[in-house]
Amino acid sequence: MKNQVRTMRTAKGWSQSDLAERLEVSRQTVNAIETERYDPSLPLAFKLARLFRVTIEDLFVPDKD
Amino acid sequence: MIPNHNGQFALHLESILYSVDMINNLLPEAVQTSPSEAIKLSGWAGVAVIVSFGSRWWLQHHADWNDVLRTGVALAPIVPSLLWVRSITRWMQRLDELQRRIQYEAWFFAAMGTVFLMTALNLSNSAGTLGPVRMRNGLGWEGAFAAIFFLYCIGCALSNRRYK
Repeated sequence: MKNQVRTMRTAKGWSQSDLAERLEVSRQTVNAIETERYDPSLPLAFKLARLFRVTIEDLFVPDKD
Repeated sequence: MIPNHNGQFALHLESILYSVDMINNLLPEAVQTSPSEAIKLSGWAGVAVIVSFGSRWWLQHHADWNDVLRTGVALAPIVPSLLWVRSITRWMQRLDELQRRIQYEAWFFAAMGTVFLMTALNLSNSAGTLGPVRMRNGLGWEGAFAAIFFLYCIGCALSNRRYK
């Protein structure tokens, strides 16, 4: 799944560690989401969307089959 | 505790503490446990080693006791082992979701790997092709623990690499 996490994080001027702290996850998790190696769970996706004040659809775009 | 088993006993306890430290080092700093918590986490593994040595000593010295009691004593190390699994599971539930996935993948790899290793050893043993290293009793409790731990480290490294 494609996502805009890195773009939105850098727009806020946060480091991966800052975001990880706000989400209460490890920095590796943030990095894995940004590099699209890991799709977060629904609760974590909601948390991200709430943090960036956007909808989940703005943040995550499913791959075309 | 048991004179002729003292060295082996200390070696097992030491290997548990070493394993705890290594498992901890495989985790990112944010989710690493403190040394005291790590020791607490593996407390039941230590108890399992003590019970295992105690039960082996008891079985050697009470060969004439009834089979039900001997079976109970022989299986006694399984109880603290299960409690150790429970404390590991609880610890994993406290990790963040990616770390939890990595741990599940690593433990699954280790468990399945150990099953296949034990099956391969048994089949080779039945065929008599193990030569000088024939294992009449399979891997044994300590062998299984060592195999699981070794495969867990490989599984952890592979999973970590996938999500790096």
